[in-house]
Amino acid sequence: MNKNINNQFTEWVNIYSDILYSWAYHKTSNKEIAEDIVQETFMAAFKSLNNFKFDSQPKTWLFSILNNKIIDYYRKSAKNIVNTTKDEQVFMKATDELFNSDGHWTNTSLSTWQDEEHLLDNQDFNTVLSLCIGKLPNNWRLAIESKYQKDKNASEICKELNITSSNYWQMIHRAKLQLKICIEKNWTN
Amino acid sequence: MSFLKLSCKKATEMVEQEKIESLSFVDKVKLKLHLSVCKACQNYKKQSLLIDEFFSKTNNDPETEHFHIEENPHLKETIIKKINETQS
Repeated sequence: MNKNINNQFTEWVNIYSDILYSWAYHKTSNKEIAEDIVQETFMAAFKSLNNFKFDSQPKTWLFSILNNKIIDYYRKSAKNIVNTTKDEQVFMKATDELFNSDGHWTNTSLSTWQDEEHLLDNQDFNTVLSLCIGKLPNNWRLAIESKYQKDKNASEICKELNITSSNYWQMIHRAKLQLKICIEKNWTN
Repeated sequence: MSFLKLSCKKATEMVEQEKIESLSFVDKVKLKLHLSVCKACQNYKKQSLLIDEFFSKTNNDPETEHFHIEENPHLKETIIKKINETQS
């Protein structure tokens, strides 16, 4: 391998490893996993340097490898979901408490989010929402994150998560309720 | 009319179900009726949509999604070492 290219690659590690690591951590909420994934990303990139067109952005290229690795991780950990996890039980209790035994909202006072029309332009709100997503139990998060993956339909996701379709939208429902609780607790306009 | 009645828990669940698979005709009517009179569930539906928008907007794109940047010099070293090892 050409020494120049080698130096170039080392420079990429210097420039991009922090942002790649932070992104992986943001997506997995697990430091060790994030570190492993970033290492794998750079190793894979290094091995396939021939495929990289030097007129394109190294950052974009590295991120596309990284995102594939993150999705692989989601898939792998989904296979390990067999029973309800402990953290899930805690969150289930919290979301159950939003409704009384008849299934009506316990808190009848309307919890609206102020300035709803423009909320997604609000940086503070986006930060809170990102943090709240990070705090979801792992498999709810997997369910909701995979819902928005491009080129993926619900039945594929259910297959990957090893759940039925009704389990799937129930999980999304719970995840949204939990996000609602978290946002109302942490975001005041 | 009681057979058309729907609890808020069920109604909000159906809001999510509808996005994933189509509802039966009866369920559709039930949900529509419930939403037409229940402010809290209308509110849920709006907020659910907003969360959807957030996800599709950010859609795994590090340029648009907000996340905290953390330095990890140790990881940097490990990777560079590994790369150099594969060289020798």
